[in-house]
Amino acid sequence: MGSRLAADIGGTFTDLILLDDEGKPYVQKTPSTPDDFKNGVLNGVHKTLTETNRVRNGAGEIALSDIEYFVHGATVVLNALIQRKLPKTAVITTSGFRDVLEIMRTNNPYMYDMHYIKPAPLIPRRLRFEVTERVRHTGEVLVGLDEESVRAVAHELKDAGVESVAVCLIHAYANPEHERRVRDIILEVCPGIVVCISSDVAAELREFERTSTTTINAATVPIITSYLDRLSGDLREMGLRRDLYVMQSNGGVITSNVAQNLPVRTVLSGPSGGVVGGAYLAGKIDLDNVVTLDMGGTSTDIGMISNGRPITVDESRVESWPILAPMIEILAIGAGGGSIGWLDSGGGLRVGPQSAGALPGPVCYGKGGTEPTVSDACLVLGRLDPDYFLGGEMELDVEGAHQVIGEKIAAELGMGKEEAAQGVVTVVTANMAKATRQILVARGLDPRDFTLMAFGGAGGMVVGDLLRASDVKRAVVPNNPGALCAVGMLVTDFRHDASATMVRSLDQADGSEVAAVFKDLENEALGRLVEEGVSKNDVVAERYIDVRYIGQEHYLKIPVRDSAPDFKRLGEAFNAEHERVFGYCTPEFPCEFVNLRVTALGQVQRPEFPTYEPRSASDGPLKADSRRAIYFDGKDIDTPIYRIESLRPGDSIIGPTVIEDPRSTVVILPGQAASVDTYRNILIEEIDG
Amino acid sequence: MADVVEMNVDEKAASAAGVDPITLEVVRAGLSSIVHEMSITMDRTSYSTIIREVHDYSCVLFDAQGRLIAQAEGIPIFNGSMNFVIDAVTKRFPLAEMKPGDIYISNDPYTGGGTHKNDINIIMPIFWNGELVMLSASKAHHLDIGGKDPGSWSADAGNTYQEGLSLPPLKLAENGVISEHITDILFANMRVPQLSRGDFAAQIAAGKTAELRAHAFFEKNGVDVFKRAVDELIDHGERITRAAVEKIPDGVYEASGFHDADGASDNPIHIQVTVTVEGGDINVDFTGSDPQREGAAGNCHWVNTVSMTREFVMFLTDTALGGNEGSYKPIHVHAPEGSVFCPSYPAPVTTGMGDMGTRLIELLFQALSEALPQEVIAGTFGNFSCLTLAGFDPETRAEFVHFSPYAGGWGGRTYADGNSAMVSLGSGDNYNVPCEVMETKFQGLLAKRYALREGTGGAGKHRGGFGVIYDYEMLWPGEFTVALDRDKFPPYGLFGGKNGQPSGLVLNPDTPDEKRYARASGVRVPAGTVISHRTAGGGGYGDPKERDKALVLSDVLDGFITVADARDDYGVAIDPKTMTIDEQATQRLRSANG
Repeated sequence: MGSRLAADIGGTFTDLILLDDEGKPYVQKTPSTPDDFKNGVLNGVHKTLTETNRVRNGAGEIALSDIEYFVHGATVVLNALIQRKLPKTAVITTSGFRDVLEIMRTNNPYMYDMHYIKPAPLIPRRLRFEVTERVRHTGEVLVGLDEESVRAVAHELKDAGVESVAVCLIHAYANPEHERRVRDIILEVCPGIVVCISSDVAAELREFERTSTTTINAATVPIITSYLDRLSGDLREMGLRRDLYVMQSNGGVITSNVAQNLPVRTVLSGPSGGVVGGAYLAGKIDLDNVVTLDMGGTSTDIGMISNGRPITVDESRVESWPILAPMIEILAIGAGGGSIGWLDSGGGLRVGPQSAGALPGPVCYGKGGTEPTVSDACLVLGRLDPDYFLGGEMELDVEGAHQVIGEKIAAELGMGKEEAAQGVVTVVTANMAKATRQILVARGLDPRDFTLMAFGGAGGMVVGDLLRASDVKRAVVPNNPGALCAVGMLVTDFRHDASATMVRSLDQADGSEVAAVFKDLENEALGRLVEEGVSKNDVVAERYIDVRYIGQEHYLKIPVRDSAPDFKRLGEAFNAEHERVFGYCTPEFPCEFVNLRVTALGQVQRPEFPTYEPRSASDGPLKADSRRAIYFDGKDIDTPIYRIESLRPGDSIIGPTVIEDPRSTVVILPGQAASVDTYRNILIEEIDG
Repeated sequence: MADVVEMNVDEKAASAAGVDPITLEVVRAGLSSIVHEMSITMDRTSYSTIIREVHDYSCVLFDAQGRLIAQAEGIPIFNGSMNFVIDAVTKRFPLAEMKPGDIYISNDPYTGGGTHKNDINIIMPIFWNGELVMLSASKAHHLDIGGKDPGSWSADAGNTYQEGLSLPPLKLAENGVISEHITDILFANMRVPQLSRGDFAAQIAAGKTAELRAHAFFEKNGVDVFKRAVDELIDHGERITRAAVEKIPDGVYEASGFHDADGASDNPIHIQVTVTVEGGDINVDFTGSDPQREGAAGNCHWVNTVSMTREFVMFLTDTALGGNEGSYKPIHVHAPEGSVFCPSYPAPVTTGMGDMGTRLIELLFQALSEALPQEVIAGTFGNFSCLTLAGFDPETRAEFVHFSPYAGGWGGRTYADGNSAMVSLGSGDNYNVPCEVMETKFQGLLAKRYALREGTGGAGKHRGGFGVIYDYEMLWPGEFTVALDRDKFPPYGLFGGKNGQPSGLVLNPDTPDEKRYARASGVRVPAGTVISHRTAGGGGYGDPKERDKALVLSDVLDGFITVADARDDYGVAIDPKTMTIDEQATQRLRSANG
């Protein structure tokens, strides 16, 4: 494969990474352009090529036409959804169910908050229509489709100028015929309109979740289509010869054609890149189980890697709206460098979820922030070097940070400024440790088997505290942490998921019936890979069956090797998994399966991280670049500071110490030790265990 | 029974050396992690729709003195009641005599500190180095606990015996071995024991999770930090509540009103409250309310009266933390023994728990509306107009009992319209049962309609939310039990807002067989019967003539109100041809009726 390029579009910055034909990476960062993300990407591509060629200094010029593969995240979809800048979209449901999208699940997620305001429905009622038909959960047709009622609706859609339609009929996952017919009739009456049917987008039980998923898909098809058309047009003019690829929320990539049909699968692609990149790095340094923490200014995204693979979920949500699509599981919590410390009405110290964000940001940024934040606390403690923030590009207001921590926290609690600042760090890391535990145990995983991988702008500042507060064994801070998300896009396999709901009791299941459905699903998923140009030799399909005890609601996803599996062994595997995840099983209870799933993977060539040489005689002995007083354990300690470029593989340093690079500051506590590996990642462990 | 709730606080312990605010947060995060993990276990291991889909359970922790120290996200009415459970259990089985491997169970409101009999409490002591340091408890709704009607939720039950099996505090397990005698009796009294067996196991699994997690916490942080932090945690909870109560001007506030009926007779129930605020203390006195009623729908057991009052105050506090023993200290409740808010044994109480309980919260809102116009909301649809459906397939002999928390409209507020289609104020994070799940599980039921009830939200500057209409067809013969809420006294409007539309239950609507019910039990119906269950809309807040014209038009376009409603209720003239606002006519309408 030739050179490859990836762009991770964040709200503030776009990170790019270019891999040359030997797998050598070149990293760039440019501002994002939220008004039209396309411009930021184009700027980034231009800058990356220019800078890469400058650094390569004549070692073979790389032009856009040399790029064999260009992948990027479709942040545009998420953005449109959050801002509700959606094209005119309609929903068609079975007669009697027009309000499913507005009724939602009827719960109040904040139990004591009567001020809770239910979100306005994604699609207003005037654009939700009913057609006459009814299918049962078995797929049996109870009321045939009244085609005249469909035509009537289609004409209304036309009159209303609707651009896109989601068709979500009751129990359509069990029998898609009516939905397909509705689609055909609408296309007949309104040619050119976008029609998405729920049995295609998310063929799963539960009307609200399926409707929400299908509606989001329908509403974002026009957005992603227009964006990708414009972007790929411009890129082609700049010389790109290949099709654009798009990162999916499940960690795989798809062609822009597929993305245009299933944008709902790309909604949460941003944070998933970090987890995939983390998994790749973890594989390089022989870590099987990793929990990733991407700590930015306002929030921390937590993801999990178990046995080398990112953990995915089959349902997630954007704000209040469920999405039934496989995604890398991410828990986002309101804890970041800009999280605000405050005192509650009972005098307790709390941190977040409110954040000073990027603007005004922490007080120490000097951009008008007035509330004490985690970054301010780190500056007061001496953890941040006011003269070396962003490599010295930005000066920090030390006075301001001291004043705000002093006045708003220390004075109120009757303690010293440093003690108060330490309190802010301790409280925010306690929240993060709690969240880390929760996401792991909810999957039946033991935190003690895991390594913490901290990245993002603020991750290094508190990684030592987090290691101490949580139950994980050690922590690692990757070299060049900012590019991990973009790396993730280049290491990811091509991936497609297909699923079908099929409820059968295990003792009455028919192997040939199952095999037939698996065959269809495989053809669907593998066919998409081949469409994307993946060679047939590089594809594999994995099969899964969702199993549960009859009567139980929750199911477990059990991998199966054969397309006509041995159902007795499937039952045993389910019981074993139930035991592992929930701590008990009841083999005497009968089981049933609910869904069949296929994951098709197409493999790509991986990038190589740069390696560094161990310390040689000419390097001289390991020596601190500077020292400064940092407040640890109740007192100022004269602490050695190292620049990352001064460190060599094999170096190890006893805490307290700080390792700085222009983009991050890694703080190692007294009682902890850090060591540097071949890739210049920093590994941190507690000395006493 | 004590009129004033006294906490079993050990004063000496309370004065012991505390911890700093930072350690406090660390311990709080640790405890909240434990209860959250209990909930995860419940969710993931349960069998029934009522647990898995609806989340009708709560998990909490107590310290070694039996004081509430942490509660998970869940159901407010449950959380505020849990100390009654621990008090009842420890009265029968003193804390000092508990041993590792013990499990305790109760459900009886009169002897076991229970809310109603379907809600089964499981309590498990947690030891560390041979010393009792904590107790976990879960309360979960089981679909049926026996009694006169399927679902054990009979509006017309005449006494507690008709509401199902009573479990006073019992030792369910010793040395970790569960007494099959107890479980045999329990499951023999249930109509659908299969699902409850699984949910029962889930509750015990949740308790085991709490023990494992607590041990890990002590191992990491030391048990001493926990013990020292507990007092401060409780004091902190108390300070939060006091700070909220102090915002209410000192004074005496009163309200009175009616609740629909008790199920045995159709006579409305008079209810009354006097709220006295003095600094950080709030006294809530229900003297003047009617004597206890014959039917279950009219009685709110003392446990629920206290719990609902607590939850009302919790609504006024910093809501993110959840409550603990301290949160409830400044709240003093009084109700005369033998009244509807403190009925005497053996009065029936299941239906009144939620119905009268939700009405109680709203009565408190009414009392404090002038003092706290920013905080209060107008009348809601009530509890959930409980409907239980049971069916039996003569061919396959399959049977089902279906119950779910029905949703309705909430009242308008000073800053927003009322929410449409929400569970009741006291139900918190309860979910609906999706129609597709219901039909898959209960094949004798077919959902014909599941929609918002147009025109039911009370008009107002901020209108009430809309109720829901549930039309179910019985595909098998069966029976239903219903206790409507707000069918006679609709959700009230506030500050000039109009009332919401009342609830209703109609059998076979728009046919010659049409029939209406309000409170009825065990009504047998043949296959093919359509049961149309309609919950109330919320009350409006503020003068409807002040409502933003664009929002009125929007409601018309969405079919929630008619052009006539816009004109008559809101003074907004809409041209039915162009569907635009006639500004001049609107100005005339709005100034004329001022």
